[in-house]
Amino acid sequence: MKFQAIAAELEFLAWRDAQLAAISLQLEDAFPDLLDDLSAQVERAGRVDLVRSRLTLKSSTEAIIQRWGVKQLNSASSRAEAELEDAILQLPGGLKLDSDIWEQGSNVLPAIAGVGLIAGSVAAIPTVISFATVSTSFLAFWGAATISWPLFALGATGIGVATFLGSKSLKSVEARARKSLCNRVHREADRQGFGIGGKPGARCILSDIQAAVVKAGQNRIQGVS
Amino acid sequence: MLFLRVVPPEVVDGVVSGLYKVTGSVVRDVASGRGVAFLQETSVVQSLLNSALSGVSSTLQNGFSPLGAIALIQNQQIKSRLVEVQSSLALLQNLQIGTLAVSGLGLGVSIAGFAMMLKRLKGIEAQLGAIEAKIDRVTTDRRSDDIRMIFADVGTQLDIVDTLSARSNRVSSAEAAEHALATSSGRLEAHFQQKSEAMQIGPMTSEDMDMLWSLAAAIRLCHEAGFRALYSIDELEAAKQLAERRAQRFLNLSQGLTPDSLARLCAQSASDSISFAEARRLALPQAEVLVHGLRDSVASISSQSELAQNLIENQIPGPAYLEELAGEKVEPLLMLAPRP
Repeated sequence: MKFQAIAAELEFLAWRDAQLAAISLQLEDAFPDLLDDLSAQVERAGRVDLVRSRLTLKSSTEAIIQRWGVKQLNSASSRAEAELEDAILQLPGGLKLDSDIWEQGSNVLPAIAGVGLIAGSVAAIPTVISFATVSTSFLAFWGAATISWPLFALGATGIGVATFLGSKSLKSVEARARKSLCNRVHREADRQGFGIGGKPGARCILSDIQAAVVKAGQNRIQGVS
Repeated sequence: MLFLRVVPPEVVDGVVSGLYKVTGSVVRDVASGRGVAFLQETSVVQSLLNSALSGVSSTLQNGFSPLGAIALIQNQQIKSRLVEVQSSLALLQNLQIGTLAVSGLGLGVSIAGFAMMLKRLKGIEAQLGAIEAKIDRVTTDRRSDDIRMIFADVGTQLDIVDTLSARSNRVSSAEAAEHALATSSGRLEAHFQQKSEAMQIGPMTSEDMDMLWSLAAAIRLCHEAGFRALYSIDELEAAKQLAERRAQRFLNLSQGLTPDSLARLCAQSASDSISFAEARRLALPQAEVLVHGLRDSVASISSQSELAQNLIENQIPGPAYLEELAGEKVEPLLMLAPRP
């Protein structure tokens, strides 16, 4: 029977590998929409907002990124759950998840969440996460990563000075400030979305969504949820 | 033929239609998971492969295929050529030409002679040398020396395994060779693990993936030769148990590797999301060949355990099985039906 346990582990690893690749592709494809939303938000922001209401910009940027993250997680989770049920149906004949299959194999439950690159995210996801709860828990585990204050402070400084120099100069400075702010917000989105500029293994939305999905999948396989 | 027979068209048709699926060397009924046949490659496979590989890159012909673009692109083309020559090879739908370097087709017991196994070993060694020349010289020197010593040991043991039938002390020689090969395999596994872990903490390159692939190929070669040594002295129960354990060890070695994470690590130095996506997608096919090759190795080794079990149940001695296999000069693939 050990070969059946190994065959089952291979099925689940294939499911995991397919989900991780699909999530990367999904986020990459959806990312331009996020950047457009963030650009529009910077364009919409009034001069007063740029100068004084850094809090407003920061929180609305956070909200846009989080809304995008939740949407991506929902989509990834639905696909992963459906494909995991298919994989379970295709297990070698007679194999049931509630049997002692794992003891026949490696004496450990399949470590499908044991991927080094997403280890930091896996550690941050609630242990009992399931496909039923995964989409509502995004804000809980993503809340730790926030947009930095200096990002907005820099955009506001130049405008504040230019208000003393006349309307022509102000418009020019404001346009430059908006463009610069937009670039910085995009770079921040790159960092938060894909960990760009960070160390390998640093948390980002891509890793967090991947971790949430494989952990929910692992719990489904182990019968925890 | 006493035990093996030609693969019947209904088995080939069943696989092509999706009714059956090939896992390792076992053809299974998809609906029930029941094994319907054990596939066994013969020495004819090699001559067919040589013919199909004519005109392609020398790295493939010389017995080792790095995860290069040429190998990826030509995979389908070479498979089509093989099926044209021999229809039963349509069973190998999931074959990656790159995996040929690991151990031929990896179906059943390896019957490759010393010359062929040594050629593979030399190919792997040369590939490792080429990779290490491209990466950090200082940190790789010590590791390279150790790997070269392991390869020298493996070469000696391959020689012994290949001449077992001519030895008067066949049993003790086979046992000693199997033990030495297992030791070499364990040392190579340690290198694989070390490399795999090091890769996960920093930006990586396609050379890193080639390095893992080369080490996995060498580990697999050790296993194939050791497995054959046990068959030649009719230690089928030991072969069965060792195949189970090695399949699990190979699985554990490769468990933390996923094509996506490897491709992401290759894209780690990207400066924005667009270049990140481009770099990741560029590296993904190579990463998929590597990881799928490792998983296929697990399935193949695991199914060797089933094959040994089948021979035990059918009271077919290991040496007799090898002898019948060596006598086949026409068919590239044969099959053994499971016990009813």
